[in-house]
Amino acid sequence: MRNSMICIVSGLLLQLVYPVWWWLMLVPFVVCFFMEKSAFSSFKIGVLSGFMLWFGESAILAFTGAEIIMERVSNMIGFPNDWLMLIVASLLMSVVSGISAVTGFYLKEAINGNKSIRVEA
Amino acid sequence: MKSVRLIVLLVLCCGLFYGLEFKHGQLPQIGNFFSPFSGFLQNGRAGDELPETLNLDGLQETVMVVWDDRHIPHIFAQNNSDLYFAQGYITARDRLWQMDFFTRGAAGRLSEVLGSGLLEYDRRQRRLGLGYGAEQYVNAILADPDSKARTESYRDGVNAFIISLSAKNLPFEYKMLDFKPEQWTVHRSALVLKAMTQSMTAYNREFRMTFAKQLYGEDEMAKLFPQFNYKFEPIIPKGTKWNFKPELPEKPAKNFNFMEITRQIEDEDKSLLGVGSNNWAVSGEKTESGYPILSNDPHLQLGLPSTWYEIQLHAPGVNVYGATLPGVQHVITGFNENVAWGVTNGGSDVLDYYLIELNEDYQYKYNGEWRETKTRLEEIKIRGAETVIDTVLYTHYGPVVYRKGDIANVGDVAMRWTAHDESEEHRAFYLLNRAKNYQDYEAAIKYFDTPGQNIVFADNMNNIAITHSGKLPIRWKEQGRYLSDGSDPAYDWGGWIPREHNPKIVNPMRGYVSSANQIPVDEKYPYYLGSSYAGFTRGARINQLLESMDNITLDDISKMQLDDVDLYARELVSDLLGYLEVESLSEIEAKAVSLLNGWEQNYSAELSEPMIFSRWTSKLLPMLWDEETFRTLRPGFSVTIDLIKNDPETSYFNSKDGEITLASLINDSYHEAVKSLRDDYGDDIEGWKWKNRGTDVRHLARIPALSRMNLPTSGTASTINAQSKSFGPSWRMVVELGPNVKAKTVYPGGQSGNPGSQYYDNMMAKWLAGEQYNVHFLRSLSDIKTGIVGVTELKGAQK
Repeated sequence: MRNSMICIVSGLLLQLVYPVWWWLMLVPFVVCFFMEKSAFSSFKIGVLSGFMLWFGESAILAFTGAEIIMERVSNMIGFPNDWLMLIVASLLMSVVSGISAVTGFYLKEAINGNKSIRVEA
Repeated sequence: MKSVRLIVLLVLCCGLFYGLEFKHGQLPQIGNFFSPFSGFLQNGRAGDELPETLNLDGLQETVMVVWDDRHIPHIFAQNNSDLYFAQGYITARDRLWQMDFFTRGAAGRLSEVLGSGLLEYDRRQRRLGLGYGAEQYVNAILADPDSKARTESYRDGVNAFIISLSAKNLPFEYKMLDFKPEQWTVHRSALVLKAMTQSMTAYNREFRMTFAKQLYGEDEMAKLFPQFNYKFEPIIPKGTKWNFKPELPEKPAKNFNFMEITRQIEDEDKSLLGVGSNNWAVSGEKTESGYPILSNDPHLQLGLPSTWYEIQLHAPGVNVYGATLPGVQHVITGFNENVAWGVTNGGSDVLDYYLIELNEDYQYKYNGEWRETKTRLEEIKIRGAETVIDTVLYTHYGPVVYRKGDIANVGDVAMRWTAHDESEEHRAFYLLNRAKNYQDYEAAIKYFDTPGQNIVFADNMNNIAITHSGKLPIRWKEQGRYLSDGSDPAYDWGGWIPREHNPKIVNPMRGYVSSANQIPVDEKYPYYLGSSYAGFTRGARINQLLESMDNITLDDISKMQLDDVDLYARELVSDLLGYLEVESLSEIEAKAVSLLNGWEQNYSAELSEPMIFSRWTSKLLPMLWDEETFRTLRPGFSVTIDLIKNDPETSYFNSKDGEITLASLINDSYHEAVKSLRDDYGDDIEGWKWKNRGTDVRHLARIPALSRMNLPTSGTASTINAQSKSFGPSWRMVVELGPNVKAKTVYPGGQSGNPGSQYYDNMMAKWLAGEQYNVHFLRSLSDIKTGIVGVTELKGAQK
């Protein structure tokens, strides 16, 4: 939970400073690299923080004036419902975030594993 | 095993990053486009919120922008420089992407952002020399310090907005198509005017006319494609006397004939043929208020973001309101406290094609000698592919637009076009915006070179006038109607018609002036102007209505703009019905006939009659003018009606053996028309409504979700309310002068170019319903009335 919050808050701050989509991959990758203890919880953190951040911001915008553009874009890509489009996009991006988080965790594990072998030798 | 898993995950992450970060084919850059932090969701209505204060580097004094409930800015500046700076900034704020994309299109730079699919389009634009023409225009602007300062102020205003943009608040289409705005320049403002010139003057028929002349000979051409059409009603009334007798060049004794055009010409820009525009002004003698009323509804290809941007510009010496073109300072059609003016396309021929002979050193033969060509390298950058260099040769006429084999097996073809000359339209608009009376109008429009317009005028002193304005070449009769001989100096233009000889009329006895793209003058006018004008219908209908009206009000004129009676149909329908063999008609065919019998020839969206008549004539014309012979160029409606009414036995429509007759063709086409309507809309005639024709207002980048398709419009190309599938009234304005100027306007779309804005297409419903908005024309800042929703203060940036 704590790491999810770290991902959400740092992701949000970074988006405000320099808004690019790939913070969604980088932030959980780094957080799980340094702070997570299992692959499954890393994935959960990635998915949860990614969804909260992405869908949360989308929903705020959708309720504060983005309804016309949502409708046009969902028509453009052939989605039957604009909210469904936001949910599907947020879910897909949260999976991307989860995969990145797990990769971060396994990378750390691989590096730590190599270190421990060297120590034993 | 663990390292394999890690490698797989790392590869997957890289793949996801690549897939989401970069643009693939026509798809946007998915990651950022869908990101709520920087993508399309940022282009919502939040952009409609009006800032109270903006600090802009480049302003000298504070500028106030008053916004009304249609998001129309009323700009109050304290000097000209700030006025045009603010116009540039505010226009860009609402229309930047449109300005950028439109001028890229004009310059032939679309491949740069859209990829190789647009290469041929770009090459064509480069060959036409739009960029070259814009350079000449810039030279004229820069040569005059005042024009230079005004145009650069506008440019700086646009750039002040561009600098303020970040990835997050880029206009929607930049995110969608994944490119960035580039700095605005004076050259790009010039390109906007050149693109308008292209759409209004580059629809030349010379290749097809030349081919037709080969087939039929000169005598037949005069009958089939007459200069003065059936029932023509020129802008300057018939019989007007001209008090000048110019010496005109002689037509060369030797005919320029060549028999090389061997196939159908498809390359000419038929697509640019619009449906025409109207303007008229009635004198105070005919109005209820005693002051003149002016009307203007230019018909262009309809688009979103809308072609026009509505604005009021107020500074010392000017208080003007009307329609502007995004990318160009000044009001193009509008009014101020003293005068009103409006434009329709003049249609006189200012573009000729010359067949030239080139040798292997790229010299061309002229007057018995070889002359050097100049070369201009056009560098066409292509997104995702190598840059293409196109070498365009320039003769003294202008660019060589077609190389041997490009078009219709003709040789190399050069173009002479007034759009390539230096000109000063900006000065004409600057002066018109400030005009106080007829003399000011006359002084202003002499600077208007191209595209030549019929500029209608009215002022508070009860003057009305119309001028067929523009820089018009002096030619011998029918010069430029066919391909010209580029080696013979007799085909050069013989100078320019003096401005005081341009057709015009001031305060005529009949109490009104009008134009609808028809021929401006009758046979008595000494100069030859061209022969490709609109038929008589719209002009005659306007005159017919104005003639019958008195005590005219603003609402009467608004209503008149919606008139959808077609005089072609009025001429023809009873003749056609007379030829039908009623006894051989099926039940549904008979029912359709009974509808046509009671029809008042109005193209109303809710009627089936216009659909039946229109389908019938669209089947009949190719039968009358048999497709094989006339596939290149078919005589128009006017000639066809003339022959049906006055020479029904003509050999054009009747075979010698009597097997094919006008009557048989009319009957056959009627059966075919009804059959095709049943196929398209079923057996219930109620379902054959004219609105099924549908009008499309398409997005500039042809993105369907950002367009409005199949709108149920009334009218056809030959009615005052001129509509077609893609053309229509791009701006409707009526103005009543007087101590308190009153005006109404509407256009199809809205002020904002942002598809996520409530102002993107908010005026479409009223435009469709034929309604107009009362204009808030403010005398001063203290004159703020109802309908104002906000004020933005533009301040010079703190130093």
